Amino acid sequence: MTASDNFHSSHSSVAPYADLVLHNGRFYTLDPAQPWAEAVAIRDGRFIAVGNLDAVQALIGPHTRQQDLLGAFCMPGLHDMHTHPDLALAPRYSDDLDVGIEDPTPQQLAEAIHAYADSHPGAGWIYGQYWVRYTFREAGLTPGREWLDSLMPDRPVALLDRMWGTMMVNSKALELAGIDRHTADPRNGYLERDELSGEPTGLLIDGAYALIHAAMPPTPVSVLRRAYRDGVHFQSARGVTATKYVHVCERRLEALKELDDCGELTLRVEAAISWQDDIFPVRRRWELLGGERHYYRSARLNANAVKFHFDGTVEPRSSYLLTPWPEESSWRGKLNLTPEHITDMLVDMDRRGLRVIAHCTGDGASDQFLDAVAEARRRNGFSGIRHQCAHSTLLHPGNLKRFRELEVIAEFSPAAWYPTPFASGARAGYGQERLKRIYDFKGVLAAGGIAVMGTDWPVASIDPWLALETLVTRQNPWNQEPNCFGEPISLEQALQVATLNGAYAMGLEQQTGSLEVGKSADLIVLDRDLFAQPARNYIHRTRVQLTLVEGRPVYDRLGTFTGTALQAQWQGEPPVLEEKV
Amino acid sequence: MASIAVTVVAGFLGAGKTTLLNRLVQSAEAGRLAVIVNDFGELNIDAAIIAEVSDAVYSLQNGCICCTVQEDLLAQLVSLTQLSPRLQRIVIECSGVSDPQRIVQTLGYPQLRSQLHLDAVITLVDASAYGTLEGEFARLSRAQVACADLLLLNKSDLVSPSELAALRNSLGARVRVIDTVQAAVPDALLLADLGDRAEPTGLKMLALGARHDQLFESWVWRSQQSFEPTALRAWLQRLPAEVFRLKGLVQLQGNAAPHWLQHVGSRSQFSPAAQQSDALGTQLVFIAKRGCNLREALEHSLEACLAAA
Repeated sequence: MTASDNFHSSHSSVAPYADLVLHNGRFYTLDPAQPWAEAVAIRDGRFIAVGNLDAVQALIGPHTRQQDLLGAFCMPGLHDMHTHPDLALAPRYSDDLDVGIEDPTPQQLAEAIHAYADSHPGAGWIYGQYWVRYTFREAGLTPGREWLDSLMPDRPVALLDRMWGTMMVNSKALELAGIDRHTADPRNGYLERDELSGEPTGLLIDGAYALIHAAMPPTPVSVLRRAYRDGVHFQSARGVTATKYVHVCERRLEALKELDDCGELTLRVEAAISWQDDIFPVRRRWELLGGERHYYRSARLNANAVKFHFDGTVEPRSSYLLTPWPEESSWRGKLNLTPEHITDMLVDMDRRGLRVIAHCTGDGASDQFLDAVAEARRRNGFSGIRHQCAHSTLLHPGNLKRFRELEVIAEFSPAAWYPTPFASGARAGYGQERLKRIYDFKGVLAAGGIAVMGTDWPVASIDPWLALETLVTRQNPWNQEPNCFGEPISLEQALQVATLNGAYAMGLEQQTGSLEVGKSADLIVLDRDLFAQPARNYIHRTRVQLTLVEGRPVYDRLGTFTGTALQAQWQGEPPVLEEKV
Repeated sequence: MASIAVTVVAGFLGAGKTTLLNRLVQSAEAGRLAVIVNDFGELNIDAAIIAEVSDAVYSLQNGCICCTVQEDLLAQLVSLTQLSPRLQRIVIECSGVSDPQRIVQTLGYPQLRSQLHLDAVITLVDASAYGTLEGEFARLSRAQVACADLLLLNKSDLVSPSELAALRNSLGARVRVIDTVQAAVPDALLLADLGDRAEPTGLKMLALGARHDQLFESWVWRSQQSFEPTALRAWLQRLPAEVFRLKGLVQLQGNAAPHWLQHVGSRSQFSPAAQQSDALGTQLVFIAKRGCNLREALEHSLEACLAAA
C-alpha cells in the first residue's frame, strides 16, 4: 500500500466519525434484511452504517467527506472467479521473434532470424514463430537443426510452425535442453530422429516442446507485471473488486506482489498455484504449496489455492464425459491425472488449507472431482475449504445437489453460455442433448449450491458485464436472434452470483460481497439502474463510474475525487485490451 | 510381427479421394485392409458386400474393415494395430481442408512406431481446379502437395495438354506426378509390396515382368557389397522424378544387421530388418515411369555408393 501502515486490531484507536459518506444513491445491498439503501457511511475501510440519510447523519464529523450520488445505482463489487490476464497479455508484451509472414520461404525466415539476432545482440535465445513445412519442401530443403545451425550456430534458436505441431530448434538449443539421442520421448509427443543414428533432427513434435521450454528463460517478471497491471486496471474500471488468477508460478506471484507493494493491486486476488507444467513451468511448486505462498500474503493477495488441469476442452473433444462423444464408439475424452492422483491431492491440499480449483469441462471429470472431494471430506471432515469445480461446462443432473452437500463451488465461464458464431460451432460439438443443459447455473442454484462466474480471459472476454447480461438472457447480446443456450437465471440471481457468491468462493463472505455494516466497503457506482430495462443489449453496456475497495476509490471515471486524499489509482475510460466484438 | 503399412490419402473436396478409396476398399488384392474415412455415406459402400456393422465400423465380406475417423487418431490407430488377424495396411483419408502433415506426425508417436510405418502420402489434385484456389485454401493445397510422396493429377482429361504441362511445372521438378482419370492408378503403385515380386536371377538391374500395364516398368538390382550410408542417402536425394518407388533390403557399412529401405516419391525411410538374412545381401526393386531409360545411369551411380571392399 502507498498509504502509511494503518492496520486495525483489537485495541487500536477508532475515530468517532466516518471517513466517507455516500448519500442519495440507490444501493442494491444483497443483504436480505435490507435489500435497498440510500446512504452508506465508511470508516477505516468498512461500512459503519447502511440505510438512509438519518442513519448516517450522526457519523458525519468535521473531516468526513460527503458525496451526493445524484440517485445513481450502487451495488457490491463484482467477483470474477477465474481469469488469466497474464496468459492473454504477456505474449503480446514479450519481445519474441515474429516473422510476420503467413508462409515465409526459408530465405525469408533466415532473414528474419538474422534481423532479430542483430537487434537483440548477445547469446540469448531466439524464440518465436512461424515457419511452415511446405515452403521448405518446395525449396528442396529439410527443416531442422542442420538448416538452423547453418544460419545460427552459437545462439539457441526455437521456432514454432504455423500449425503449432512442430518446433524447429538448432543444436545449441538441444544442447542447452540436454537433449540427445538418449533422451526419451514424452508420452504426448516425440523427437524426430535420424533413423540410422537416432540423433534428434531438431524437429520436436507436440508435447516435446516442453523439453525446450523448460530450458528457456521464463517470461520476465517485468513483462508479467505489465500484463497483470493492465488486467487489474481494466477489471477495476469494470467494477471488479475481487478475482482469481488461476495458474500462477513463483514469478507470477512476484509480479503480483510488486503491484501490491506499490499500491497498484486495486482488487482482491486469490492466485492458484499451477499443479502441472503444461502452461508454464513452476520451479518451486512444492516450496510454494508447503508454505512459501504465505510470503505473498496481504489484504489484497493470497496464494492459498492450487489449480489442476483435470480434463481437456470441447474442440479437440478431450473433455471427459460420462458417455462417448457424438459419433464416437468409445471415446469419452481424456483425464490428465488419474482419479487416484487427484483424490490424494485433494486430501493432502485440503489438510494444508489450500483450495483445489480443478478444470472440469466434461460431466465425467466433474463427477470424478466430486468423488474426490467426498473422499477428502470423509477422511478430513469439513476443513472449511470450499474447493472449486472450474468451468463446469457439463454437469450430470445427479451431481447438482452434491455442490451444496460437499461445499464445492460450481464455477462457470461464459466462453459459450450464449450463442455466437464461435460458440455455436464449437459447443454444438457436445451434441444437442448435452447443449440443453450446458453451464447449468439454474440447476446448481436450485439445489442450494454456490455458483459463481469467471470470465476465463482470453478464452472469453474479460468484461464481466457481458457475462452478467448473458447469465440472464443466455442469448447473443448483439442481435435479436431468439436462440438461447441452456437455462437463464433471474437478474437477482445473477447479481448474487457475481457478488456474494463470489465472496463465498473466496472464503470472504463475512468480509465482502454485500453492503452490510462491518463488511469491507467494496462497492461500485453505475451509470444505470440494472433493473430499469430488459437485460438484453442493456446490461453489457453498463459503465462503471466509481469502484471502491476497502473504502477507497480505486477507479474514478470522472475524477470526482481527484486532488483529494481519496484520489483513485485509475481514472478515465477503461483501457482497451480486446478488439470490439 | 510385421509392421503395418499406412497410406495417407489427401486432397481437396472433389479431387477424387472417394473414387480412389472406393477402388481400394473393393479391390480384391487389398488383403487385410482397414480404411479410415471421414464419412461412410460419401463412400457409398454397396450394402451387398457389408458383412457386419457395429458402431463406427463396417466389416466387408472381402476382409476389409472400414471405419470413420475418430477424434483421437492415435488411440484409434493403436486399437487397429491390436486387431486379429493382423492388418496389412491402413488407409487414412485426410479431410479435404486439413494438412496431412498432422496425420504423418501422429504416425511418428512412440506408441505407434513399432507397430506401423508410413508407406506413402498420396495427394490428389483436381487438375481442372488447382489454380483457382485462394487464400487459406491455396496454402492448404500447397501444404497437401508438399507433403505428398506421390501426386495424382486427377481429371487430367478435363484440361488441355498445355494447361497440364503448366500445372506440372508449377508443382516443382522433384514431385512425383502421375496424370490420371477417375483416380485410376495401378494398385501396384499405390499399395506396392515390392519385395516378393523380385524374380531370382543373378543379373543386376534386371527388368521385371510387364505386370504394371503401359505406365510403369520395374527393375531389380542386387549386390553382395555394403553401401556407404552417407553416399547412399545423397544418391536417394538425387533420384530423378521418374522413379516413383524403391524398396529393398540393404547392407550398410558399419551395421551388422541389414536395413529395410523404402523410398516413395522423394522420401526415404530406413528401418532395421528383424531377421538376420545375410545370404541375401542388398536387393532393391524399382518402379519407374515406362520408357524413362534410366537403368544404366542409375546402376552406375548406385555402384558408386558401395563401400570399398
